[in-house]
Amino acid sequence: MGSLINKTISRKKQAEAGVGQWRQRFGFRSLQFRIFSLFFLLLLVLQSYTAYLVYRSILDDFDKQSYENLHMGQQLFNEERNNNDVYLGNTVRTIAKDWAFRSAVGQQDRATIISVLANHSNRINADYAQFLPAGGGRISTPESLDSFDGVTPMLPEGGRDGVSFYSYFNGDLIQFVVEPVKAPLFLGWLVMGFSVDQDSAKDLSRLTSLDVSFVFSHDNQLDIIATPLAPTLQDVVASDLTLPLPTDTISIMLGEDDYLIRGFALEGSDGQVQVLLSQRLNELRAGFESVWDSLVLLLAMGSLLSILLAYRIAQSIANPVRRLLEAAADIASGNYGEPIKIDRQDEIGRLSMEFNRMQEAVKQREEEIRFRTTHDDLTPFLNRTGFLDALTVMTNAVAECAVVTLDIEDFRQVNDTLGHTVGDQMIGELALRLQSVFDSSYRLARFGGGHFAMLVQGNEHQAQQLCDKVTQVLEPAFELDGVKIYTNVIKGFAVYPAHALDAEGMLRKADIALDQSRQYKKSAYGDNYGYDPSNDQNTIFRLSLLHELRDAISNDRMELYFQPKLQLSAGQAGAAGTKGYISQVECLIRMNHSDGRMVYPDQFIPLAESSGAIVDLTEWVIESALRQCKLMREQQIDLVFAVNISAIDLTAGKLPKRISKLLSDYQLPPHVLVLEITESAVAEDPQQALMVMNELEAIGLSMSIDDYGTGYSSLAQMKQIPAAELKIDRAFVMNVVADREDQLIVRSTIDMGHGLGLKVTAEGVEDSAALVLLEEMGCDFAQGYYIAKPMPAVEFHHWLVAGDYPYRALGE
Amino acid sequence: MTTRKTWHITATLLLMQMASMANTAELVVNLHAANGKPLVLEGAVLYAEPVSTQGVQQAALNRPEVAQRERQFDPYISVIQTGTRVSFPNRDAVSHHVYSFSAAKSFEFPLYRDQSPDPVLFDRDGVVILGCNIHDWMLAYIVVVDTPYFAQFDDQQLRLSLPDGAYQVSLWHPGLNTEDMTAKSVTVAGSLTLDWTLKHKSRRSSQPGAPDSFDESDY
Repeated sequence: MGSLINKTISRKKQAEAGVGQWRQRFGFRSLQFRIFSLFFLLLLVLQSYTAYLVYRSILDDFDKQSYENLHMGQQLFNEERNNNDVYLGNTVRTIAKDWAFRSAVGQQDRATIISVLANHSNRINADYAQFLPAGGGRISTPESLDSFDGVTPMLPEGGRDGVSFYSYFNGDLIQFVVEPVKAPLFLGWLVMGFSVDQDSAKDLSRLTSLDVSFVFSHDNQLDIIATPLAPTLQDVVASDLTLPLPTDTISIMLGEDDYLIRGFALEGSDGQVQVLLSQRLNELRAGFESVWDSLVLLLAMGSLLSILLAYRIAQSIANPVRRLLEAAADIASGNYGEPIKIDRQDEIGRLSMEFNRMQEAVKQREEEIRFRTTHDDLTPFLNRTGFLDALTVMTNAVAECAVVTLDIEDFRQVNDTLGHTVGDQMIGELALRLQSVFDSSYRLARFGGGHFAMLVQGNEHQAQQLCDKVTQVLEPAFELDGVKIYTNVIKGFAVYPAHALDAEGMLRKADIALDQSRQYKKSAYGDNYGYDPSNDQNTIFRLSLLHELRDAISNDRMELYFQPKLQLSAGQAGAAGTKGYISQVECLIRMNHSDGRMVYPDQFIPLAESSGAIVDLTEWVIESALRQCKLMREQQIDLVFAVNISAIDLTAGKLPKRISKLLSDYQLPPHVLVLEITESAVAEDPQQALMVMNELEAIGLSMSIDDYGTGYSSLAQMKQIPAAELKIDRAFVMNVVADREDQLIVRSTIDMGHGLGLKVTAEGVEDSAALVLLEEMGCDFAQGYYIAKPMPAVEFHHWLVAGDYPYRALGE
Repeated sequence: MTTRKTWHITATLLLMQMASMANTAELVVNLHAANGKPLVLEGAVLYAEPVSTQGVQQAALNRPEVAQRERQFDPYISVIQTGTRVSFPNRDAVSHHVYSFSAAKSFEFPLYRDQSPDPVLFDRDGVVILGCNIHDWMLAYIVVVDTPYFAQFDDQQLRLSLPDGAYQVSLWHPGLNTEDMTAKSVTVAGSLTLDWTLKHKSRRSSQPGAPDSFDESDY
């Protein structure tokens, strides 16, 4: 069902995409469509105009030809009649000179003359024959012609020449041909008559390809004498045509058809007989229509051609443009495909070339940018982004892989002491050494400073081996600027898929492993640098804790606990029979989780440090301590409040100012506050830390070195710290009674502290024996559960007042 | 039979003429055109018929001929006395077909060549028009007169010898109007000169030639 819907949708989308493409290609605003339309219209107009011209010229031609036809017809007709006249004249003249005829005439033998006339008429197809003797009278055959008076007026003078004329006789049009008869002198006239009948009209029509009609006009009436026209049409002609007939060709409707007609007087008919030439236009037009059909076909083919041509032209312009457009869209979406191949010599060809160059340039620039965004700028290694990408690729491709992270301890010191150039040189040297460990299947990255990462295909074992190899190659001293530098490299690794399933997770776990190594001071061969989930504070719990921390600070769910420090050297007897009194108290922060649990600082302080919340937290602690101090002092209890300061507080730099402000706010002298600082806090950025500590000392604050013995600080460094107190870590104190080594360490530390002018505090005092031993060792202060565990303010107050130990009163 | 009788008559006439030779007169006719100028009319015939036929003699017995030479009749105009026989010798290499439909004498010689048909006796007066059926243009006149006194135009004038007496003098020429040819009555004693002035314009008729198109080779 779902898939069916999906298919329908996708089909619909396809259709829409298709329509879109079509629109892009053929839309009314597309270049192609515009060019196509322009050329098509142009060609169409040209073609139409040409067709119109051709049509006109053909039509004109036809008209002209048709009109010319009639004109030609008339000429042909006249020529034919002239030829006929000459022919008949010659024929009749020959008869006039015929001996038999002349004999008959000479002998005035009437009967013979008639016979001869009839005979010759028969020979030359004459319809009438007549002899007119010079002396008068008529001898005719057929005899009816005797009554015809039409010949005599037409006779030429002198009797020398012949004559031809037309006359209307007995309902017939007759061509009379007259020749003189001489024997040898003029004797009379030979007259031969030829009927102009239907056959003659048909002959002439055939000759001229026109309809040739002879019409007789009398009293403005028109009688058709001879015609090839159909009888019905003859009636129309007789009734419709008026005289005189047009001497120029005209077009006229006769019956249901158009005709071209012209007329002229028949020569030798004294204007009485007219010749009508006619032609049915349909016959001509039939010819024209076939030409018109071919013209239409030609036009249609031309139009088709022009469509194709216009399409081709439009395509030839729009196609490359569209391809450039598509390529531009591809580039915009970051897809640099093949360069566009438009093999043209014109602007478009150059445009595509420029376009390709641009594409290449953009591609290069993007590759460079991508390289920069994924690579470190000091080494040929990847940066964090690039490494994460590579890691993602690797986790997707292989079953097992590992991320090893390295941190060069004290690298910042190299930079600070020997300068960044030397620092960069050292990074370069480091990179070379690391590369020597790796083959090309490894991926290397530098995350800044002395922080490196390596991606290796393999399991925990391989990662561990790699760590050892790294230790090995980085062990020899670096000789930089004439200075030999030994490095301590902290390593950590995480493996896929055991520790994390994604790149970010892998990297985080590896960093945690690195922190764990740092924390547990693992650096020797064989140490396990792998991520230890059981010791990971960087979990989801941590994340929620961070949230909880912020919430607790803002909602006042942080609480300060107080653990008193017993001053031993004062020698005053206490409740437990020991000497000493309470002069100082360490303020320990606790967080009341929203679920009611109490959360200890070792869980949230690193979180606060990494999230930057530590600054606010420290301020809160100091202010709370000062407020408590103020309260105590109001009850004449004069205690020194010790608060723990993070390394972040030292580097943040504003600590002295803030403390000064708080002191003045609470109107307290600076000596009521002691700042406890771990030696590792100083070790991270000793210069900055020392500077801040000097400032703090300058405003009258005392400092205490906390957790002494756990860090790596050198005595030289210790010497620089403007501290007034040294606190021996509980790890050495807890078993001090039983453990001789611890006894030795504690004792020597006390001695060294005193030697440096420092008061010494022992933490983790859990029984009286330890207290006794410490007092005996000359330890200045003792702190621990044996004396008192950390207590909330009210409880602490009660405890103080209860008086297990005396406390220092104000003014003492 | 008829021929013999004619010969007898002719001989008698000849004798009569010889008898009256002593008192011979001369008639001269000067021809003038309508405008009065002297007229040359080649071949014109002048003849005088004596009012009294008594004593009129047959003219000297001659044998006139009308030859066909180069497709022309020669002469164009002849004058003979009634009863004269005329020969028609063909002097051309081609045949001729001489005919006449004239009332005075109708005859024809069907195609002949290089031969002379028998002479034709002209026994009636009148103008005989000769034609050739082969050559339409050939034309000749024989004026047959019933008198021995006739002459043809010669050297600007017409001159006629005849005995004194009263005559009807006639003039004939194909180019002359009939009125101009009307006979005039004159009496001749010794010699007489007559001015003949024409009232009509005369046609200087001469024998027509062959038409240009007529070429021997065509036949």
